[in-house]
Amino acid sequence: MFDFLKKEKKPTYVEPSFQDIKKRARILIIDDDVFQYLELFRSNGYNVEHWKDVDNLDRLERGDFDVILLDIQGVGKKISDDQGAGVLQHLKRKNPSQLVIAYSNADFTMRYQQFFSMADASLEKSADYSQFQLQLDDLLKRRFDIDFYCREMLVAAGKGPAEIERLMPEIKASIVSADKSKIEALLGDSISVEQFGAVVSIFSSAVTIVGGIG
Amino acid sequence: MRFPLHTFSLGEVNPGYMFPVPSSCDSCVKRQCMNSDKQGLSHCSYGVNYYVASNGSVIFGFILAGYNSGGGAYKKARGLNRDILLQKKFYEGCVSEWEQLIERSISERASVEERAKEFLFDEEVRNGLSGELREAIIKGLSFVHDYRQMNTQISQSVNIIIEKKYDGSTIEDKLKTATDEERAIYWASKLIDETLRVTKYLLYPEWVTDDSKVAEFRFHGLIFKYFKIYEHRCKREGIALRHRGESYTNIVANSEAVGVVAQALLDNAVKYSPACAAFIEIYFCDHEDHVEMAVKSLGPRLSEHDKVNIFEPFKRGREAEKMQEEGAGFGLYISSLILSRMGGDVTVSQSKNASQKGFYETEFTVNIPLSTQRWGNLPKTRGAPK
Repeated sequence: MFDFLKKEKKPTYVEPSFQDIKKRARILIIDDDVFQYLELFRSNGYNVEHWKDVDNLDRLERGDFDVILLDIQGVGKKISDDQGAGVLQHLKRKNPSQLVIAYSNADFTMRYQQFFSMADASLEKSADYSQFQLQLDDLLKRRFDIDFYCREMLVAAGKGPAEIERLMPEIKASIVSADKSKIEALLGDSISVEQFGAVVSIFSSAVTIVGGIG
Repeated sequence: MRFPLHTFSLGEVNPGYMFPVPSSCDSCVKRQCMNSDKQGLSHCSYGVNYYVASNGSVIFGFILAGYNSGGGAYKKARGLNRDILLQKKFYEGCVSEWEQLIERSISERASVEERAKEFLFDEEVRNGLSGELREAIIKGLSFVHDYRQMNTQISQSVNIIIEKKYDGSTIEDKLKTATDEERAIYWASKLIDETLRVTKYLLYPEWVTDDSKVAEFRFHGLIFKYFKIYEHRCKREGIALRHRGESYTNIVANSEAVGVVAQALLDNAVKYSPACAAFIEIYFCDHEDHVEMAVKSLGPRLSEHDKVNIFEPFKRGREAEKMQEEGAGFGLYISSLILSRMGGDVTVSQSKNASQKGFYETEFTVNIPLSTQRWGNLPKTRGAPK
């Protein structure tokens, strides 16, 4: 009888603890060589898979993995002449919110610099395990941070800092409620089709993450 | 160059046209005249006179009439070598002419160098030259990639051992409790990493001013990283490594490139240190518009010519080459190149007298602007002696 008095409960997002993030996160290493830190990561509680090459591009494009550690050279030869660097470029176009740590024993030409700058973090392959872990943890926290997706979406829509701050709360609400129509209403008219595609892709990733936790 | 007396200059012997070479000089192994630091007239153990000029070159193989300090050896040599006996006036004339020749050649060389600098500081010319040098270097350094891969294996393997065996929140904490051997391997792999990184800037100097690498960082903190890398090696080789002065300034630069400079200076300091009583001192100082760092150590003598030459590619000091067979001679060159592109410089100075066992206190001083600029500034001095 008094249903009309009940206020509709707004969906909320509670950021998970890092221990929960670590348990849930799926990490992929793509390296044609042995990745010696693999067992260390597993013994420290990370869920890590290792591919010697890009075995399934669809899975990468879908965002099945929370963070990818990608060797820039020696993998993805069937996909791109630039090997891992080309794979990274492709992934970032298809799924801009995919988080990637690029690493290499690569040569030093500036040609690869453009690819490294596309990654969310980069390391030399001889870096300490602790440096790899630090970067990975940083990206995992970002992966499960709803603010990260909000910013990514607004940056993809070409918004400046002031607009980003202004629109953040509404974008956040749309992610939490998984309501794409709000995004269309907020941004649809002022951006290009290509930009909107990127925004929607990030939105989908965000909803997947948040929906799995919230 | 024709000169009446025999001379030794820039590592070469030039026979004089007026007198024969004395037999004692021909068979001499010690070459006391060519290794002497004492400027002016002297005599060797065979009693033969020689004169060390202001630039370290030598006129040798003569007997000066009326020379009073020679003792028995001189008297004997004078008796045996009457055909190389010089009268005082003639000797003084030769010395004066020789010193004038030196002065003329220094100023000519300076003028040529100045013109060369103007030419070389043309960006197009430098990039073209870099390209030619690069090809030559690539051929010689084709092993670098393989070495990097091997070092990665070593580095990762020792990391795993330390991470699994020891407790601590950081790798540094864990290293404190690791064995000496494990620490040695860890720091050696870091050293190899840094050494191989030098080739990156040798092959591709355009990295120095690449915007993606330029960031703000604490200068002192960066140098201290290299202090730690070399600490282990210095301890093993009995070299006292210390630091003096402070720097609290952040600079905006390519930290990796600055690290190459630090690594090159420290590496040289370790390489050319004597077997005992050696030290390396790193000095820091903040200035209004730049940071200064000096690396002081004991090393082989550098002639005035060496002090300019050692900043050229593949060139080493004469005494350094005698001391160390290994050494490609590009550490100081690449340091100089990096600093000049950042608007900074590196200078060298050395004590006049040897401290012990023929080693001299040698100091390399680096100045880096607080905010490095793209190439466009002439370096203040390049490898000039202080």
